[in-house]
Amino acid sequence: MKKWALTCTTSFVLLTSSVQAETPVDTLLQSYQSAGATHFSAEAGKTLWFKSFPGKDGQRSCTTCHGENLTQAGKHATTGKTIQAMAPSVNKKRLMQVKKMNKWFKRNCKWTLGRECTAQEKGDLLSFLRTQ
Amino acid sequence: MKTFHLVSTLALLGGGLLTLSALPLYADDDEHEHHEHEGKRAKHALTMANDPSYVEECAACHFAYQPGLLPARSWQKMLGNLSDHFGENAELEVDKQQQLTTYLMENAGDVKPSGIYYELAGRLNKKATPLRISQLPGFVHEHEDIPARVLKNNPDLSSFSQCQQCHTDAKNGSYEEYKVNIPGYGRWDD
Ligand code: HEC
Ligand code: HEC
Ligand code: HEC
Repeated sequence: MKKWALTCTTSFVLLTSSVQAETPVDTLLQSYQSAGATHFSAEAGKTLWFKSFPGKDGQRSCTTCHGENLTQAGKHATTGKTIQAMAPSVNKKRLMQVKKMNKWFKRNCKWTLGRECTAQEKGDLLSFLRTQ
Repeated sequence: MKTFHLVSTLALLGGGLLTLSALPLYADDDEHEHHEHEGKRAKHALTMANDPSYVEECAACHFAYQPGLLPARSWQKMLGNLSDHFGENAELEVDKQQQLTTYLMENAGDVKPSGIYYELAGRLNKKATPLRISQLPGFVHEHEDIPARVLKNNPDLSSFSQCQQCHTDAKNGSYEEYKVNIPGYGRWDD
Protein backbone atom coordinates (compact mmCIF):
# COMPACT_ATOMS: atom_id res chain seq x y z
CA MET A 1 0.00 0.00 0.00
CA LYS A 2 2.66 2.43 1.08
CA LYS A 3 4.89 1.38 -1.78
CA TRP A 4 2.03 1.85 -4.19
CA ALA A 5 1.46 5.39 -2.98
CA LEU A 6 5.15 6.12 -3.34
CA THR A 7 5.23 4.84 -6.91
CA CYS A 8 2.24 6.98 -7.71
CA THR A 9 3.89 10.09 -6.30
CA THR A 10 7.10 9.44 -8.18
CA SER A 11 5.39 8.87 -11.48
CA PHE A 12 3.31 11.98 -10.85
CA VAL A 13 6.46 14.03 -10.27
CA LEU A 14 8.06 12.56 -13.37
CA LEU A 15 4.97 13.29 -15.40
CA THR A 16 4.71 16.92 -14.33
CA SER A 17 8.38 17.60 -14.84
CA SER A 18 8.40 16.17 -18.34
CA VAL A 19 5.36 18.31 -19.19
CA GLN A 20 7.11 21.40 -17.88
CA ALA A 21 10.25 20.75 -19.85
CA GLU A 22 8.41 20.68 -23.14
CA THR A 23 6.00 23.38 -24.18
CA PRO A 24 3.14 22.74 -26.63
CA VAL A 25 5.13 24.73 -29.20
CA ASP A 26 8.12 22.36 -28.76
CA THR A 27 5.80 19.40 -29.29
CA LEU A 28 4.60 20.87 -32.56
CA LEU A 29 8.09 21.82 -33.76
CA GLN A 30 9.20 18.22 -33.15
CA SER A 31 6.26 16.88 -35.13
CA TYR A 32 7.10 19.24 -38.02
CA GLN A 33 10.67 17.93 -37.97
CA SER A 34 9.48 14.35 -38.20
CA ALA A 35 7.42 15.52 -41.17
CA GLY A 36 10.64 16.55 -42.94
CA ALA A 37 11.13 20.20 -41.96
CA THR A 38 14.68 21.22 -41.08
CA HIS A 39 15.97 24.36 -39.44
CA PHE A 40 13.28 26.80 -38.31
CA SER A 41 13.78 30.51 -38.85
CA ALA A 42 11.96 33.18 -36.86
CA GLU A 43 13.00 35.66 -39.56
CA ALA A 44 11.27 33.61 -42.29
CA GLY A 45 8.24 33.29 -39.99
CA LYS A 46 8.10 37.05 -39.58
CA THR A 47 8.25 37.59 -43.34
CA LEU A 48 5.40 35.13 -43.90
CA TRP A 49 3.31 36.67 -41.10
CA PHE A 50 3.39 40.07 -42.80
CA LYS A 51 3.26 38.85 -46.41
CA SER A 52 0.19 39.66 -48.54
CA PHE A 53 -1.64 37.18 -50.74
CA PRO A 54 -4.35 37.99 -53.28
CA GLY A 55 -7.85 37.02 -52.04
CA LYS A 56 -11.31 37.46 -53.47
CA ASP A 57 -11.83 40.73 -51.61
CA GLY A 58 -8.36 42.24 -51.91
CA GLN A 59 -5.02 41.45 -50.29
CA ARG A 60 -4.99 39.07 -47.34
CA SER A 61 -2.38 38.44 -44.67
CA CYS A 62 -2.18 37.13 -41.12
CA THR A 63 -2.36 40.74 -40.01
CA THR A 64 -5.74 41.24 -41.71
CA CYS A 65 -7.30 39.84 -38.53
CA HIS A 66 -4.47 39.80 -36.00
CA GLY A 67 -3.37 43.39 -36.68
CA GLU A 68 0.05 44.90 -37.46
CA ASN A 69 1.12 45.02 -33.83
CA LEU A 70 1.29 41.61 -32.18
CA THR A 71 1.15 43.05 -28.68
CA GLN A 72 -2.21 44.64 -29.37
CA ALA A 73 -5.63 43.13 -30.04
CA GLY A 74 -6.71 42.59 -33.63
CA LYS A 75 -10.11 42.54 -35.30
CA HIS A 76 -11.70 39.78 -37.39
CA ALA A 77 -11.87 40.94 -41.03
CA THR A 78 -15.46 39.84 -41.65
CA THR A 79 -17.19 39.91 -38.29
CA GLY A 80 -15.31 42.75 -36.60
CA LYS A 81 -14.87 40.69 -33.44
CA THR A 82 -11.89 41.62 -31.25
CA ILE A 83 -9.10 39.02 -31.31
CA GLN A 84 -6.84 39.18 -28.26
CA ALA A 85 -3.15 39.98 -28.81
CA MET A 86 -1.06 37.18 -30.37
CA ALA A 87 2.17 37.90 -28.48
CA PRO A 88 2.70 35.45 -25.59
CA SER A 89 4.59 38.23 -23.76
CA VAL A 90 1.33 40.11 -23.23
CA ASN A 91 -1.16 37.24 -23.54
CA LYS A 92 -0.24 34.26 -21.37
CA LYS A 93 -2.94 32.08 -22.92
CA ARG A 94 -1.25 32.13 -26.31
CA LEU A 95 0.27 29.03 -27.96
CA MET A 96 -0.58 26.81 -25.00
CA GLN A 97 -2.70 24.14 -26.70
CA VAL A 98 -1.53 21.86 -29.50
CA LYS A 99 -5.09 21.18 -30.69
CA LYS A 100 -5.96 24.84 -30.81
CA MET A 101 -2.86 25.74 -32.82
CA ASN A 102 -3.49 22.91 -35.30
CA LYS A 103 -7.08 23.99 -35.77
CA TRP A 104 -6.32 27.64 -36.43
CA PHE A 105 -3.29 26.98 -38.61
CA LYS A 106 -5.51 24.90 -40.86
CA ARG A 107 -8.32 27.49 -41.03
CA ASN A 108 -6.19 30.60 -41.20
CA CYS A 109 -3.64 29.35 -43.74
CA LYS A 110 -6.48 28.28 -46.02
CA TRP A 111 -8.17 31.67 -45.65
CA THR A 112 -5.00 33.71 -46.06
CA LEU A 113 -2.80 31.74 -48.48
CA GLY A 114 -5.57 29.76 -50.19
CA ARG A 115 -3.89 26.51 -49.10
CA GLU A 116 -2.64 24.80 -45.96
CA CYS A 117 0.77 25.86 -44.66
CA THR A 118 3.65 23.38 -44.94
CA ALA A 119 5.36 21.93 -41.86
CA GLN A 120 8.33 24.24 -42.58
CA GLU A 121 6.10 27.33 -42.75
CA LYS A 122 4.27 26.47 -39.54
CA GLY A 123 7.56 25.87 -37.75
CA ASP A 124 8.90 29.21 -38.95
CA LEU A 125 5.70 30.99 -37.90
CA LEU A 126 5.73 29.47 -34.41
CA SER A 127 9.44 30.26 -34.00
CA PHE A 128 8.58 33.88 -34.74
CA LEU A 129 5.36 34.06 -32.71
CA ARG A 130 6.81 32.49 -29.55
CA THR A 131 9.43 35.25 -29.27
CA GLN A 132 6.86 38.04 -29.43
CA MET B 1 -38.95 14.22 -16.79
CA LYS B 2 -37.62 15.68 -20.00
CA THR B 3 -36.10 18.68 -18.21
CA PHE B 4 -34.54 16.39 -15.67
CA HIS B 5 -33.01 14.35 -18.45
CA LEU B 6 -31.58 17.43 -20.14
CA VAL B 7 -30.15 18.83 -16.93
CA SER B 8 -28.51 15.57 -16.01
CA THR B 9 -27.05 15.12 -19.49
CA LEU B 10 -25.58 18.58 -19.37
CA ALA B 11 -24.23 18.01 -15.89
CA LEU B 12 -22.61 14.79 -17.02
CA LEU B 13 -21.12 16.42 -20.06
CA GLY B 14 -19.11 19.03 -18.33
CA GLY B 15 -19.96 19.62 -14.71
CA GLY B 16 -21.54 22.54 -12.93
CA LEU B 17 -21.01 25.32 -15.44
CA LEU B 18 -22.98 23.57 -18.13
CA THR B 19 -26.10 23.19 -16.04
CA LEU B 20 -26.18 26.96 -15.77
CA SER B 21 -26.94 27.20 -19.45
CA ALA B 22 -30.20 25.40 -18.85
CA LEU B 23 -31.23 27.97 -16.23
CA PRO B 24 -32.72 31.38 -16.88
CA LEU B 25 -30.12 34.09 -17.20
CA TYR B 26 -30.77 35.81 -13.88
CA ALA B 27 -28.89 32.92 -12.33
CA ASP B 28 -25.78 34.91 -13.19
CA ASP B 29 -24.44 36.14 -9.86
CA ASP B 30 -22.36 39.01 -11.20
CA GLU B 31 -25.37 40.86 -12.45
CA HIS B 32 -27.02 41.91 -9.22
CA GLU B 33 -28.81 44.89 -10.64
CA HIS B 34 -30.73 42.61 -12.95
CA HIS B 35 -32.55 40.86 -10.14
CA GLU B 36 -34.88 43.84 -9.79
CA HIS B 37 -36.14 43.31 -13.31
CA GLU B 38 -36.48 39.57 -13.06
CA GLY B 39 -40.06 39.41 -14.26
CA LYS B 40 -39.41 41.70 -17.18
CA ARG B 41 -36.20 39.96 -18.19
CA ALA B 42 -37.70 36.51 -18.06
CA LYS B 43 -40.14 37.58 -20.74
CA HIS B 44 -37.77 39.71 -22.77
CA ALA B 45 -34.52 37.80 -22.70
CA LEU B 46 -33.27 34.55 -24.16
CA THR B 47 -31.41 31.86 -22.28
CA MET B 48 -27.75 32.80 -22.41
CA ALA B 49 -25.28 31.02 -24.63
CA ASN B 50 -22.85 30.09 -21.89
CA ASP B 51 -21.99 26.47 -22.62
CA PRO B 52 -18.16 26.55 -22.42
CA SER B 53 -17.65 24.42 -25.54
CA TYR B 54 -20.09 26.55 -27.47
CA VAL B 55 -18.33 29.75 -26.46
CA GLU B 56 -14.89 28.29 -27.25
CA GLU B 57 -15.84 26.96 -30.70
CA CYS B 58 -18.66 29.16 -31.92
CA ALA B 59 -17.76 32.53 -30.43
CA ALA B 60 -14.13 32.66 -31.58
CA CYS B 61 -15.01 34.55 -34.76
CA HIS B 62 -18.15 36.34 -33.71
CA PHE B 63 -20.77 37.03 -31.07
CA ALA B 64 -22.17 33.92 -29.31
CA TYR B 65 -25.61 33.83 -30.89
CA GLN B 66 -28.15 32.37 -28.44
CA PRO B 67 -29.43 28.92 -29.49
CA GLY B 68 -32.98 30.31 -29.11
CA LEU B 69 -32.51 32.61 -32.11
CA LEU B 70 -32.93 29.89 -34.78
CA PRO B 71 -35.13 26.81 -35.15
CA ALA B 72 -33.57 23.38 -34.51
CA ARG B 73 -33.57 22.49 -38.22
CA SER B 74 -31.41 25.54 -39.01
CA TRP B 75 -28.78 24.57 -36.44
CA GLN B 76 -28.76 21.02 -37.71
CA LYS B 77 -28.16 22.18 -41.27
CA MET B 78 -25.49 24.71 -40.28
CA LEU B 79 -23.55 22.27 -38.11
CA GLY B 80 -23.70 19.71 -40.92
CA ASN B 81 -21.70 21.96 -43.21
CA LEU B 82 -19.11 23.83 -41.15
CA SER B 83 -16.36 23.49 -43.73
CA ASP B 84 -18.20 26.13 -45.76
CA HIS B 85 -19.56 28.43 -43.11
CA PHE B 86 -20.39 31.79 -44.71
CA GLY B 87 -17.19 31.56 -46.72
CA GLU B 88 -15.02 30.42 -43.79
CA ASN B 89 -13.84 27.08 -42.56
CA ALA B 90 -15.31 26.42 -39.12
CA GLU B 91 -14.87 22.64 -39.17
CA LEU B 92 -14.91 20.74 -35.87
CA GLU B 93 -13.85 17.30 -34.77
CA VAL B 94 -16.76 14.85 -35.00
CA ASP B 95 -17.39 14.52 -31.25
CA LYS B 96 -17.41 18.31 -30.71
CA GLN B 97 -19.62 18.79 -33.71
CA GLN B 98 -22.13 16.26 -32.38
CA GLN B 99 -22.05 17.68 -28.88
CA LEU B 100 -22.73 21.21 -30.13
CA THR B 101 -25.46 20.07 -32.54
CA THR B 102 -27.25 18.50 -29.56
CA TYR B 103 -26.76 21.60 -27.42
CA LEU B 104 -28.06 23.94 -30.11
CA MET B 105 -31.01 21.76 -31.12
CA GLU B 106 -32.14 21.15 -27.54
CA ASN B 107 -32.14 24.88 -26.83
CA ALA B 108 -33.43 26.05 -30.22
CA GLY B 109 -36.13 28.70 -30.57
CA ASP B 110 -38.85 26.25 -31.63
CA VAL B 111 -37.96 23.85 -28.80
CA LYS B 112 -37.73 26.44 -26.00
CA PRO B 113 -40.09 29.13 -27.27
CA SER B 114 -39.69 32.76 -26.20
CA GLY B 115 -41.22 36.11 -27.04
CA ILE B 116 -38.06 37.08 -28.91
CA TYR B 117 -38.10 33.98 -31.07
CA TYR B 118 -41.77 34.48 -31.84
CA GLU B 119 -41.05 38.07 -32.85
CA LEU B 120 -38.21 37.10 -35.18
CA ALA B 121 -39.44 33.79 -36.58
CA GLY B 122 -43.18 33.74 -35.93
CA ARG B 123 -43.87 34.23 -39.62
CA LEU B 124 -41.20 31.86 -40.85
CA ASN B 125 -42.39 29.31 -43.40
CA LYS B 126 -42.27 25.87 -41.75
CA LYS B 127 -40.50 24.50 -44.80
CA ALA B 128 -37.78 27.16 -44.89
CA THR B 129 -34.44 26.50 -43.19
CA PRO B 130 -32.65 29.85 -42.97
CA LEU B 131 -29.04 29.93 -41.79
CA ARG B 132 -29.01 33.60 -40.91
CA ILE B 133 -30.85 35.08 -37.96
CA SER B 134 -30.49 38.40 -39.75
CA GLN B 135 -32.66 37.09 -42.59
CA LEU B 136 -35.58 35.82 -40.50
CA PRO B 137 -38.81 37.56 -41.59
CA GLY B 138 -39.35 39.21 -38.20
CA PHE B 139 -35.72 40.33 -38.06
CA VAL B 140 -35.98 42.10 -41.39
CA HIS B 141 -39.23 43.72 -40.27
CA GLU B 142 -37.83 44.90 -36.90
CA HIS B 143 -34.73 46.42 -38.49
CA GLU B 144 -36.14 47.92 -41.70
CA ASP B 145 -36.36 51.45 -40.27
CA ILE B 146 -32.62 51.63 -39.65
CA PRO B 147 -31.13 53.83 -42.37
CA ALA B 148 -28.51 52.22 -44.63
CA ARG B 149 -25.99 55.00 -43.93
CA VAL B 150 -25.64 53.68 -40.39
CA LEU B 151 -23.80 50.63 -41.75
CA LYS B 152 -21.86 52.40 -44.49
CA ASN B 153 -18.17 53.01 -43.76
CA ASN B 154 -18.81 52.52 -40.06
CA PRO B 155 -15.53 51.37 -38.49
CA ASP B 156 -17.40 49.71 -35.61
CA LEU B 157 -20.20 48.07 -37.53
CA SER B 158 -20.30 46.33 -40.89
CA SER B 159 -23.37 44.12 -40.88
CA PHE B 160 -26.56 43.21 -39.05
CA SER B 161 -24.85 40.01 -37.94
CA GLN B 162 -23.06 42.02 -35.23
CA CYS B 163 -25.97 42.07 -32.77
CA GLN B 164 -23.78 43.06 -29.80
CA GLN B 165 -22.59 46.29 -31.44
CA CYS B 166 -26.09 47.80 -31.28
CA HIS B 167 -27.81 45.75 -28.59
CA THR B 168 -25.68 46.67 -25.60
CA ASP B 169 -27.05 43.78 -23.47
CA ALA B 170 -27.14 41.15 -26.25
CA LYS B 171 -24.74 38.83 -24.47
CA ASN B 172 -27.33 38.46 -21.72
CA GLY B 173 -29.93 37.52 -24.31
CA SER B 174 -31.67 40.86 -24.00
CA TYR B 175 -32.67 42.78 -27.14
CA GLU B 176 -35.04 45.42 -25.83
CA GLU B 177 -35.25 48.60 -27.84
CA TYR B 178 -34.32 50.91 -24.97
CA LYS B 179 -30.93 49.18 -24.69
CA VAL B 180 -30.00 49.84 -28.31
CA ASN B 181 -27.03 52.13 -28.90
CA ILE B 182 -25.81 52.21 -32.50
CA PRO B 183 -22.06 53.01 -32.82
CA GLY B 184 -21.55 56.40 -34.43
CA TYR B 185 -25.28 57.07 -34.34
CA GLY B 186 -26.46 56.74 -30.77
CA ARG B 187 -29.58 55.65 -28.97
CA TRP B 188 -32.67 54.60 -30.84
CA ASP B 189 -36.04 56.22 -30.18
CA ASP B 190 -38.84 55.78 -32.60
C1 HEC C 1 -9.96 35.79 -41.02
C2 HEC C 1 -9.33 36.17 -39.75
C3 HEC C 1 -7.94 35.57 -39.42
C4 HEC C 1 -6.82 35.58 -40.21
C5 HEC C 1 -6.63 36.22 -41.57
C6 HEC C 1 -5.80 34.88 -39.47
N1 HEC C 1 -6.30 34.48 -38.25
FE1 HEC C 1 -5.27 33.41 -36.86
N2 HEC C 1 -6.94 33.42 -35.65
C7 HEC C 1 -8.15 33.99 -35.97
C8 HEC C 1 -9.11 33.72 -34.92
C9 HEC C 1 -10.57 34.17 -34.87
C10 HEC C 1 -8.44 32.94 -33.95
C11 HEC C 1 -9.02 32.34 -32.66
C12 HEC C 1 -9.32 33.38 -31.63
C13 HEC C 1 -8.21 33.58 -30.66
O1 HEC C 1 -7.39 32.69 -30.46
O2 HEC C 1 -8.18 34.69 -30.07
C14 HEC C 1 -7.07 32.77 -34.45
C15 HEC C 1 -6.08 32.05 -33.80
C16 HEC C 1 -4.82 31.77 -34.32
C17 HEC C 1 -3.85 30.91 -33.69
C18 HEC C 1 -4.01 30.17 -32.37
C19 HEC C 1 -3.27 30.90 -31.29
C20 HEC C 1 -3.23 30.13 -29.98
O3 HEC C 1 -3.21 30.79 -28.93
O4 HEC C 1 -3.18 28.90 -29.99
C21 HEC C 1 -2.75 30.87 -34.52
C22 HEC C 1 -1.44 30.09 -34.30
C23 HEC C 1 -3.05 31.72 -35.65
N3 HEC C 1 -4.31 32.26 -35.49
C24 HEC C 1 -2.17 31.95 -36.68
C25 HEC C 1 -2.48 32.66 -37.84
C26 HEC C 1 -1.60 32.77 -38.97
C27 HEC C 1 -0.21 32.14 -39.08
C28 HEC C 1 -2.25 33.53 -39.91
C29 HEC C 1 -1.79 33.88 -41.31
C30 HEC C 1 -1.39 32.76 -42.16
C31 HEC C 1 -3.56 33.88 -39.33
N4 HEC C 1 -3.66 33.34 -38.08
C32 HEC C 1 -4.52 34.63 -39.97
C33 HEC C 1 -8.44 34.71 -37.10
C34 HEC C 1 -7.60 34.90 -38.18
C1 HEC D 1 -13.66 30.68 -38.48
C2 HEC D 1 -14.62 31.69 -38.04
C3 HEC D 1 -15.99 31.22 -37.59
C4 HEC D 1 -16.28 30.22 -36.69
C5 HEC D 1 -15.31 29.30 -35.93
C6 HEC D 1 -17.74 30.19 -36.59
N1 HEC D 1 -18.30 31.16 -37.38
FE1 HEC D 1 -20.28 31.59 -37.56
N2 HEC D 1 -19.85 33.03 -38.95
C7 HEC D 1 -18.59 33.36 -39.39
C8 HEC D 1 -18.69 34.39 -40.40
C9 HEC D 1 -17.52 35.05 -41.14
C10 HEC D 1 -20.07 34.68 -40.55
C11 HEC D 1 -20.71 35.72 -41.47
C12 HEC D 1 -20.73 37.02 -40.74
C13 HEC D 1 -21.16 38.19 -41.55
O1 HEC D 1 -21.74 38.04 -42.61
O2 HEC D 1 -20.93 39.33 -41.07
C14 HEC D 1 -20.77 33.81 -39.61
C15 HEC D 1 -22.15 33.80 -39.42
C16 HEC D 1 -22.84 33.02 -38.52
C17 HEC D 1 -24.29 33.07 -38.28
C18 HEC D 1 -25.27 33.98 -38.99
C19 HEC D 1 -25.33 35.37 -38.39
C20 HEC D 1 -26.45 36.16 -39.01
O3 HEC D 1 -26.18 36.97 -39.91
O4 HEC D 1 -27.59 35.99 -38.59
C21 HEC D 1 -24.57 32.14 -37.32
C22 HEC D 1 -25.93 31.84 -36.73
C23 HEC D 1 -23.31 31.49 -36.96
N3 HEC D 1 -22.29 32.07 -37.69
C24 HEC D 1 -23.19 30.47 -36.04
C25 HEC D 1 -22.00 29.80 -35.77
C26 HEC D 1 -21.91 28.59 -34.95
C27 HEC D 1 -23.09 27.89 -34.31
C28 HEC D 1 -20.58 28.25 -34.89
C29 HEC D 1 -19.95 27.06 -34.17
C30 HEC D 1 -20.29 25.75 -34.66
C31 HEC D 1 -19.83 29.25 -35.67
N4 HEC D 1 -20.73 30.15 -36.19
C32 HEC D 1 -18.44 29.28 -35.80
C33 HEC D 1 -17.39 32.83 -38.94
C34 HEC D 1 -17.26 31.80 -38.02
C1 HEC E 1 -27.37 48.43 -36.60
C2 HEC E 1 -27.74 48.11 -35.24
C3 HEC E 1 -28.40 46.75 -34.97
C4 HEC E 1 -27.88 45.50 -35.17
C5 HEC E 1 -26.52 45.16 -35.75
C6 HEC E 1 -28.87 44.56 -34.71
N1 HEC E 1 -29.97 45.23 -34.24
FE1 HEC E 1 -31.67 44.39 -33.46
N2 HEC E 1 -32.52 46.24 -33.32
C7 HEC E 1 -31.89 47.43 -33.61
C8 HEC E 1 -32.85 48.52 -33.41
C9 HEC E 1 -32.58 50.00 -33.64
C10 HEC E 1 -34.08 47.93 -32.99
C11 HEC E 1 -35.40 48.63 -32.69
C12 HEC E 1 -36.11 48.78 -34.00
C13 HEC E 1 -37.46 49.45 -33.89
O1 HEC E 1 -38.29 48.96 -33.15
O2 HEC E 1 -37.64 50.43 -34.58
C14 HEC E 1 -33.82 46.48 -32.93
C15 HEC E 1 -34.78 45.55 -32.56
C16 HEC E 1 -34.51 44.21 -32.34
C17 HEC E 1 -35.43 43.26 -31.75
C18 HEC E 1 -36.84 43.58 -31.25
C19 HEC E 1 -36.70 44.11 -29.84
C20 HEC E 1 -38.02 44.48 -29.18
O3 HEC E 1 -37.95 44.87 -28.00
O4 HEC E 1 -39.04 44.42 -29.82
C21 HEC E 1 -34.80 42.05 -31.66
C22 HEC E 1 -35.35 40.75 -31.08
C23 HEC E 1 -33.47 42.23 -32.24
N3 HEC E 1 -33.34 43.56 -32.63
C24 HEC E 1 -32.52 41.24 -32.36
C25 HEC E 1 -31.29 41.39 -33.02
C26 HEC E 1 -30.35 40.31 -33.26
C27 HEC E 1 -30.57 38.87 -32.81
C28 HEC E 1 -29.30 40.84 -33.94
C29 HEC E 1 -28.08 40.12 -34.52
C30 HEC E 1 -28.33 38.96 -35.37
C31 HEC E 1 -29.56 42.27 -34.10
N4 HEC E 1 -30.79 42.56 -33.53
C32 HEC E 1 -28.72 43.17 -34.72
C33 HEC E 1 -30.59 47.60 -34.02
C34 HEC E 1 -29.73 46.57 -34.38
